[in-house]
Amino acid sequence: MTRSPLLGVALCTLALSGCVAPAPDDSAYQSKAVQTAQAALSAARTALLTTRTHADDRLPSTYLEPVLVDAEQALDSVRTTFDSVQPPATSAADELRAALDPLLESAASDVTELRIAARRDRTGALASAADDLSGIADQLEAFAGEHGG
Amino acid sequence: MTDESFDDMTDESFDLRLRLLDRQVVDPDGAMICKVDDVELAPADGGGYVVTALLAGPLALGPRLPGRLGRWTVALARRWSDDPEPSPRRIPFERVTELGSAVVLDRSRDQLGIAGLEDWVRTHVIDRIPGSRHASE
Amino acid sequence: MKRLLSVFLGVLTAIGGFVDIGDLVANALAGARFGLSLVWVTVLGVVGICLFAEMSGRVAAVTRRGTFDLIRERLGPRAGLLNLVASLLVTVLTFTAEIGGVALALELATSVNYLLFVPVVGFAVWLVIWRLRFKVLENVFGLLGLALIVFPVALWKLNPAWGDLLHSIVAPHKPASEDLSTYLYYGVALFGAAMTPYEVFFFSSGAVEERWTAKDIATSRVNVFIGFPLGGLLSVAIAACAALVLMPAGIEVGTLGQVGLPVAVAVGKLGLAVAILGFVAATFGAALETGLSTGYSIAQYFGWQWGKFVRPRDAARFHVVVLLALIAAIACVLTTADPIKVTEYSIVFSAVALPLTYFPILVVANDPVYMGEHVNGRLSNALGTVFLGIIIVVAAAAVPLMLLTSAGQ
Repeated sequence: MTRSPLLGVALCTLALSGCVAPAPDDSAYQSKAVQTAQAALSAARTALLTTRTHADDRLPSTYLEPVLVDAEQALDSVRTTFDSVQPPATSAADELRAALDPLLESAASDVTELRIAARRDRTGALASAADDLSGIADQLEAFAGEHGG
Repeated sequence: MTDESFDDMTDESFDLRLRLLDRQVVDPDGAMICKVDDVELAPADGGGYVVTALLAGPLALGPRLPGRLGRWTVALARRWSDDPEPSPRRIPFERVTELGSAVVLDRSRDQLGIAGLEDWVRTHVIDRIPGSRHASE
Repeated sequence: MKRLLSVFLGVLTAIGGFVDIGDLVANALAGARFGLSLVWVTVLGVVGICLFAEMSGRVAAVTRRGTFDLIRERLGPRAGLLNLVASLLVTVLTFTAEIGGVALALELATSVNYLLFVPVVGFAVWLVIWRLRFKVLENVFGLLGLALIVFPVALWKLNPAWGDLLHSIVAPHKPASEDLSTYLYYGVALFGAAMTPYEVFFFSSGAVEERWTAKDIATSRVNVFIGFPLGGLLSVAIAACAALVLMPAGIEVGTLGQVGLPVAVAVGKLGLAVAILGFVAATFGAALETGLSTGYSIAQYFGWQWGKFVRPRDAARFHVVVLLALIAAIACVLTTADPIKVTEYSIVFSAVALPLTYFPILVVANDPVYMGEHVNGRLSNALGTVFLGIIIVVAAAAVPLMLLTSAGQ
């Protein structure tokens, strides 16, 4: 039974498109960036709210830990997805990336700090990581507001 | 029109699809036996047909399912059966005492000797799990 | 007096048993993202499930037969089989989501990774189905599910502006930042979560399990018309808590932990513990229901003996089906697919499968041959037909909306 040539073409296209996400135009990249910022904001604020509620003794550490682990994973996944998108060759796109990337990186490392401090029950480290993350979260929110629809 | 004794039915003609096919078959205690997957007809004197038996099982239902699915069901059932000439499970129509919302027979499932898969599953799987003989508590 | 107590118990069980992982996720998600502008969909869904649960309960009480039994009888083996396959796929998907939900709730209680709980939960589900009497099963998890009352309590403690709250429910206003297509997509999801198909199979089969007759129709109506709406109120409270706590913070719900967060903020550790108990009870109870429903649908279609009202060995194929479905569900959860994502898909596909389930119920409930004097009245029929129209529209829109919004991005 001969294989359909169409099938071959389809498979090749699929394989190639999987390598790198297609380079979108400026507006598509911008909405992708905003989406990313919103997802990162959500994870960051979740971590913050949960940490603060834990500090107020309204939430046990058994609840805090899985929430922080999930927030950390969410931030990592959001960052990876965003980095895998090939930006269009415009200065606007580069600016967006330059603004967003460091925020994503800081947010991820702050949440990791939170998770480690939570597990080790180090309230001091918890508070300082939370302060930093709070600032990052506000910047993410500002980014999304500035570039959002 | 929920309960009618069998005797009243023998002289009337009735719509097979509406009154008999795909109905639940139960024993006198209400225990579920099978569905009427198909019926066996024989020509009646004076024209028309009379129902001679209820048929059940994949060999009976298979032919009523569409296309390839139906053929595969029948093929699988044939493969599964020990019989060289497999035929569907057959309940003679004389066993039927009532044709209401369910078809009531005059014998229990074990007495009919038609359970195939149920017996196999019971012996090989369920009875091996502790507690299968006890009613739930 | 005893009668009154048993009716009261029935209502409480109906309230506590109403919410499952789909409702938890859908309402929290919608609340966090859309505020209270989608509550009208939940209300609509609750009215719908009340209508069809009453019908299917009445059908089961009068005919003493389960839904799938009658679907095949009324629609024929081919339409019945299509119905069976579609419903089964959705039910097993939901089963997977519920087991994932129990494991996630236990993770929040203990910090132990949810995957480690999955085999334990699976075994527990099977054991309960194998040994526990139907009525006990229903009552225990239904009553424990009442722990979710902690959400209305949390809502009250959050001290919202009740007037504004009510206004945003009654005069819904889609947030400007969200697309209409996303709004509608989550509307579909909420609708599917409220009107889960397995509920109908379970309710009608349960009526047969408990040996209901026409005399029990009145009790069934009380359970449905009082219990389900109050259960729906719990769903709305979950959405409102999310709207008040998560939405202002920019938090979008993607984990079970976020669903419980407002309770911790409002009520503290004790409230959170009660909420986790509620999560476990609701999802475990729903896991039992979906597991049993897989057995009910297949056994009823083929005419096999089914039910917990006989010894397991007298319903061997039924129990094997449930066991196989359980194994399949456990395997799916253990693929580490995100249980919340699985839940989202299960409720959207539930919405797609709704017409298959509800159309036959409407047909049978209208058939005087089956129902005798208990056939649908004009009101039931009018409402039923209107809802069938709504259900068909929702089912048709579900997949296009899912593709359009990339599953709600």
